[in-house]
Amino acid sequence: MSWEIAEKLRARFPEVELFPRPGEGEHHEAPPSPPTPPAPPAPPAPKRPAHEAPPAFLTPGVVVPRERLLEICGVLATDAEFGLRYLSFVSAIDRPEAGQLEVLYHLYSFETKDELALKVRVSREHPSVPSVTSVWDGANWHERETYDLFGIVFDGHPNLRRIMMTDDWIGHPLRKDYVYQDPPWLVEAARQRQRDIEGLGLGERA
Amino acid sequence: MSTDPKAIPRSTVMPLDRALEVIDALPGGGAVLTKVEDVLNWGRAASVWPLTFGLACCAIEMMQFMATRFDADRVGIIPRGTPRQADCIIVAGRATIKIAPIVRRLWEQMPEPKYVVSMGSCATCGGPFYYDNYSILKGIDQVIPVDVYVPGCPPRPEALYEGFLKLQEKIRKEPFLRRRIAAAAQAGS
Amino acid sequence: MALRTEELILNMGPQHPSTHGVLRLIVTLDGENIVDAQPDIGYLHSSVEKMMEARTYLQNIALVDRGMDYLTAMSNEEVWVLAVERLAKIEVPERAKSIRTIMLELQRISSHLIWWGTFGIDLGAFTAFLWAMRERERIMDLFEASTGGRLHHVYFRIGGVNEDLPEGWTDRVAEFCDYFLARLPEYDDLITGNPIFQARTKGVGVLPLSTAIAMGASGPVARASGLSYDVRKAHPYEVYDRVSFDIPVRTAGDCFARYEVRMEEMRQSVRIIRQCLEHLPAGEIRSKVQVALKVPKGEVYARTESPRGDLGIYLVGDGSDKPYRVKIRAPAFSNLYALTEMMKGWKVADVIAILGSIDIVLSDVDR
Repeated sequence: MSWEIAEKLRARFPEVELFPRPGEGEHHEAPPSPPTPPAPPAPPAPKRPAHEAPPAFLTPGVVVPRERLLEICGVLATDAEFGLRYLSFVSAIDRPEAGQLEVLYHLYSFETKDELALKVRVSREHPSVPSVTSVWDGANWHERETYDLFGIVFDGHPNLRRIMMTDDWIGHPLRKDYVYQDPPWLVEAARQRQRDIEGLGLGERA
Repeated sequence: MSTDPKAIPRSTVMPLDRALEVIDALPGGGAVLTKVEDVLNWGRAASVWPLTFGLACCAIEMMQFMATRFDADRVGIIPRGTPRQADCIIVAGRATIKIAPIVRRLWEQMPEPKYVVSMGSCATCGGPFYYDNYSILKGIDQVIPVDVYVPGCPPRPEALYEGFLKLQEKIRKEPFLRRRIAAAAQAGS
Repeated sequence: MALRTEELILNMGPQHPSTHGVLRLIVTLDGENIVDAQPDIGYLHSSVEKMMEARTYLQNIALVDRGMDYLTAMSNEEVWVLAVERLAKIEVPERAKSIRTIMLELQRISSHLIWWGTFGIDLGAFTAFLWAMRERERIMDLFEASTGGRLHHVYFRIGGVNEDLPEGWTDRVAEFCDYFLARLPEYDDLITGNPIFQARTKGVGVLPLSTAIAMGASGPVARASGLSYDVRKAHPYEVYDRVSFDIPVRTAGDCFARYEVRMEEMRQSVRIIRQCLEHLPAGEIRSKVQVALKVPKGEVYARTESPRGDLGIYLVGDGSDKPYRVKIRAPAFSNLYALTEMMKGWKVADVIAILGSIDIVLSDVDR
């Protein structure tokens, strides 16, 4: 679990922002504040339960501006310095209180056994990021899944359709504010079944 | 280890001598109709051919049920690959809303008389996938009528055995022929 | 005059005896040749990731059994507890680590046995299925004795395992190892050396190494294409850094190579189990962990080698007793995507052979 690869990436692209390192001060909450927030004056911290501690990012990662994503991904995948040829997955994290969705990529290198998480912050209203299918072919289905479950549009994706839910599904289920409703045909089918059962005289108390 | 054959539930299919009794009684006259029905039901109950349609985890136990050690062939259960040849569908596992219309269509493709075994909690009522869920059907009986519910998550092969023995019991008691004739008479009049 | 031909679209599934679940394949055919094969998935999408957000860390162990790859329930438990233990910094006693490793490897054998049996059915050898189920039933007995469950165990706990092994269990496992190793040559006699089987699998459905990596394939599928990579070696968890085993690698990348890799993996699993049994330490099986465990804020990615490949969980904790977000990285999802590349140019009869060789479980693909 080496953070060197993230450092190297920041050296090449100064606009990327590293995930807060373990044991590295307070984490500023999303939305992203200016690149270098002044370190808050650390009061002598009273002993707190572990779950109230500042967030620990145990997987090295960077936050990348949306505009530079494709360029940075191209470098990460092809440049021998990084060699992150393997895309584990593409997904997203919903942060409604910040009005943001974090698109999450996880990259891996077989040679150096380095891993890197990549995040892009987009707005919840009209989320869109460029598709990385041109860099990693395997992103194709992962991006479709993310589109299906989070509603993030991947520009330039060859076949951006729903993959898990039916094509006529309404809403994006993995968002935090999603409310489930039975599709109308199912409501009608269940009612019909209920009528059939009542017609048989079953389930009624004598 | 339950390799002991005695530990495995025995079939309660009508023994052959009893069947011969019924057949011998056929020329008797007045009560022929019910007797023929008995023979038919005996034959139907002893050859329930389920459709091989595995949905999720329960399908693995269903496979085990049909394979070595449990050997469903002994009670006449032979899996069929197509709904046109099957007279029973085992809904083994959780059904999603996406697959529910397909299960319904498979059921519609099966010739009458047909039976449905709902295997496991998920097919019965949604089971562990009942709450906080947006894609699983809360019970397959919302779309097709179920004859036997087998509880468990997943049910052991023995439990599925018991379910099938119950189904055979049901088939043997059915007024199958009388219902047919009544339906035909109604259609004719 | 050229013969006028038309493309034919063939729908396979969702109900098909050889699709190993509810997979729909839309195959475009030109005569007998496959022009394109597009899997249509999602028929078993069980919204596990959403449900996990509403359950406590302990309750989720029971959910990952069922919601993820159901053939390898304990591999799912492993990756889940691993992620939580890393984020919450919980130590696991040595004995629990060894027990977990034994369980994981038994699970690997049982999963590969199902694959071997169903692959046999796909290619017309029903005996293979009966034999595989016979051996698997012995593993089920072992699982039942120790965990109480046949398919869904809920055996691993955050910080250990639920119960200690019952008396005499290790002897039974050792006995099973001997029994199983004696069976494997029979399998080779029945299937591996069978000329019909070889004709249907050798050179069929080739996946080149570069394509495998680009498409995200992992596990036996990638190893059959020449990728010498196993999470158990690269990022050892439990006691994998203390046992010796080999990673079987083939370079052909065809169905037969994938077959060979899995057969060899079963032998290696037996090897690992024997070493663990030999050095099974005594002591605690679980460290003290609250039932309503509150996991600190933070994010971690844990990865394991499930029988199907690189299984990972990206866990986002928010300081409460429930995870904020869980992303399951399913190996079969990516392996199935690689199928589109493997199928192109082969005959329609090869569809089943290629599909059977990648060993998908739809519950893992759809989650």
